[in-house]
Amino acid sequence: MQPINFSNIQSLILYAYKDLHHAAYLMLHIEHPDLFKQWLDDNIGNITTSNTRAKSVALNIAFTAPGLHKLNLSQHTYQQFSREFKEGIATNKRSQLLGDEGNNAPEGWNWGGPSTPDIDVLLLCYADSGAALEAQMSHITSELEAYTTQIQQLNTQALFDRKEHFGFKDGLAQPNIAGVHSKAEESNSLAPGELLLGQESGYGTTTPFPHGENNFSDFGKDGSYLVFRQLEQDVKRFWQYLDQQNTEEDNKIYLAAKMVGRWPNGAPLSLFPTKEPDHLNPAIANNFDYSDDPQGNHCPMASHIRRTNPRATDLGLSDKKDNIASVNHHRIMRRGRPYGKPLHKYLSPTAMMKADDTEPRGLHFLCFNADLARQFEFIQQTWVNNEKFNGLYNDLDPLLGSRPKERGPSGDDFTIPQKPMRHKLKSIPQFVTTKGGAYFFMPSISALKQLINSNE
Amino acid sequence: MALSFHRSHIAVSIICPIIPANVSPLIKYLEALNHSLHSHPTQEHPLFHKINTHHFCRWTVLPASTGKQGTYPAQLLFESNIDGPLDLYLELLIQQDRDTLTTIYQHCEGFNASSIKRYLSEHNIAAPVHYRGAHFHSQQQIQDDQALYIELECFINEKHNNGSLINYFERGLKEQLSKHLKENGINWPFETSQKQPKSHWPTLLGGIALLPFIALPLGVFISVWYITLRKHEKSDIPEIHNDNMAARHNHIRHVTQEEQQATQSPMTSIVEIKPGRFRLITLKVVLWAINLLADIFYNKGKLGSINTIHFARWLIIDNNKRLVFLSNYDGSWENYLGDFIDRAAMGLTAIWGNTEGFPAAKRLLLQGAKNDIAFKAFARKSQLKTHCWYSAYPQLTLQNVLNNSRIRQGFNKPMNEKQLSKWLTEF
Repeated sequence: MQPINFSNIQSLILYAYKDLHHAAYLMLHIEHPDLFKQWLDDNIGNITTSNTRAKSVALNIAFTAPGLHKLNLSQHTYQQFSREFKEGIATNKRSQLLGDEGNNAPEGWNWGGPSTPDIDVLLLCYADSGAALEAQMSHITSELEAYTTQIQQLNTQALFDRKEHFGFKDGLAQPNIAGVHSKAEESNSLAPGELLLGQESGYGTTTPFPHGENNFSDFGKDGSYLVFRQLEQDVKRFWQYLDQQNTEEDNKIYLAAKMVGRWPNGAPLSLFPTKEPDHLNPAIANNFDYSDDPQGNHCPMASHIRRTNPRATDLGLSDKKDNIASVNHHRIMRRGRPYGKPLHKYLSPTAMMKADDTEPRGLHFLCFNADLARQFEFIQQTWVNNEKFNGLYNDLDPLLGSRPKERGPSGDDFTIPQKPMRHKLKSIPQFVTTKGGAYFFMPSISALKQLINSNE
Repeated sequence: MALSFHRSHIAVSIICPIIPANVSPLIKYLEALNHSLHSHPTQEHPLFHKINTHHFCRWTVLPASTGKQGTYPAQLLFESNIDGPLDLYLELLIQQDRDTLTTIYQHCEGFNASSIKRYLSEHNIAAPVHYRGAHFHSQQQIQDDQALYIELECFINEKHNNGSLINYFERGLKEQLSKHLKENGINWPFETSQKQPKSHWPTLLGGIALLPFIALPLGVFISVWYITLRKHEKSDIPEIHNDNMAARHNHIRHVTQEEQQATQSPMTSIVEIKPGRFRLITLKVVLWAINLLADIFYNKGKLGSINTIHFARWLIIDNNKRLVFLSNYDGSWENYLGDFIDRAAMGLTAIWGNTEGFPAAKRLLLQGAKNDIAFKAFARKSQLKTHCWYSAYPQLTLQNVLNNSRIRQGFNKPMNEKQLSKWLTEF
């Protein structure tokens, strides 16, 4: 395995900036490529790389396929980018695979859709205080004003106790990258090529990376594909649906936990099947698998966390190790953050069932992966947006599913296995709506320098 | 009705040359037919929906092409997986929709509308490998089992909602379900016995008993074969796939247009066999062995450990020059190909290693498909668009089919506590 060149890799790919609670994203359209390159040249020292720890501010940059094209990346190198990246997230075929149909269709997106302006560049800004973020943003926008058009500024909102808007602790299960993150348990450890182009993947082959003719340059190496989706959450509808189930208060939270696969404080159902523990030891939040729960009596097969990362679920392979290896070909590094005011300050389920407002809120879902088709799109298509996942009949992901489906089974059941017979929730409405999306590529520092100097 | 359920599936593969000028009109016609099947799923088409003995079928055009070993004419391929026999099936097709059949085959060489049946059966070829996911399940049985599942599902949901099912113990639950069926006049599940796939172990053991007598000549033969194989493997130059990425990506866009629309998808792929007798014979022996394995071991819904294939087959066409692969699978293409790599790399390498463009293999079984990037590139490059495709039960995965069958079989089978517990989780 080749060593990781930390100073060449943009830091967000490897680290989440957990201490920088304030973040905003700028989406830009380049009007004057040469001037933009000049700006990039002047500011390349401000891009946060993974050899240093970002203390107060961080800045990262990524490009869409049209953006790279506009900056005169050679045609030869450009063509070697993956088909998914070049086509973009909003093609008809891709929308069908990802579930971006009906309410989720790109035609209705705030950005990234067919009727919104082309995005070339994404700037990701992070800071430890609101004031620092504002200063950073106004500095950047004033500098770039003359040669770019700002399409979107998307802000984020850190929520109480690192939860997401439905009220569940988020971001607990990230893969570890061998040679980067030290605490790696083997079953949760990925080869660097699952995240970085030009590195060895989980199959033992080198992840393809765009390069120049005769391997003249290694443009794509140490870069990563970035998926950005704005997922609006209808929190009121989620808790109202549960409130309507004719059970007791505690049981409503229990049903919600069954849908998620974790209790609100993040405790996994696999370890705490009947009751939410008062305290969750962070060390065990991600230290479990499903090998002793084949029927899903603890954590339902259809639940969100089980189908987005089935861990050691028996997917038909005989050996537990093989099942884990097979699942680990489809992992992603999540970097999302919530946006919008929470429905209740402390995200208390009881309060949220009664609360009422229509303010937009949700998740800016961001993730990195080295193979869009095999990782992000696979999870979305084969696990989330597949009502037949691992033997099920009609259960889309209870949180993310776009229901009812336009073709085939409606997908709006949720099966809760229990003794002696399963319970089924029926006619689950849609809780999450896609409001925007794009595929980006986050290049290495050396690739940024190549872009600055390219003048074909 | 219960007794007609145990037919073994038969592979129909009818290949006819197309009159060159008729190729694009035929593709247009088939695509329109396909469109009408899928855009109005409730409208029944006599050629497809009215026949209850076929599971999956497709008409697709193998376009004219030039390979390393010569040029190949455009041909029309009809694939069907039927409850047999062929004669009866062809009669049924003709009886249901002679007009559509005539329209399709008028595009082909040597077709005579007055003898459709003879024309079709003369062009039917044998499939060296025919894999079936749900052995001995007729199309009608699969449909009936699903109707049974739905009936019971509604009953259980209703009982759950009024809280009256929870109170029963496991025995009581089964009785309750049985009673519900009988009260509604649904008696066939209790009368149907499921034919189980045969074990061919005795034949195999017989073969092993013969071994001492043939060991020496066999050993010599295998050694010579192995040395020749290694020589071939070392001298083969594997194709470099990233020659023209733009063309490659356009091809994938074209062939995937109709793929993965819903629960199931078809896959059609065609490749040239490497030149020379050695590769052809090796391929034929491997296919024979895999077909045998599929019959003996992989006859319970899993090929290796792949549990998403309803039917698949390999065909050798064009005077032993090309290999066709046809499959009807569940879920996404990425999942299917990932399964190939994780779960069946050896078998697939043993087959496709004898064809052009496959990633370099070692000792027949190794490397090859394990080279994920090159293997997926090979699979996409060899893939063709499937022009017209029909499934008799488009909303069921193979896992659903087998689960429904287990539920039905449970009604006609005494069970111990453990089996009963397991059975109740299947609803």
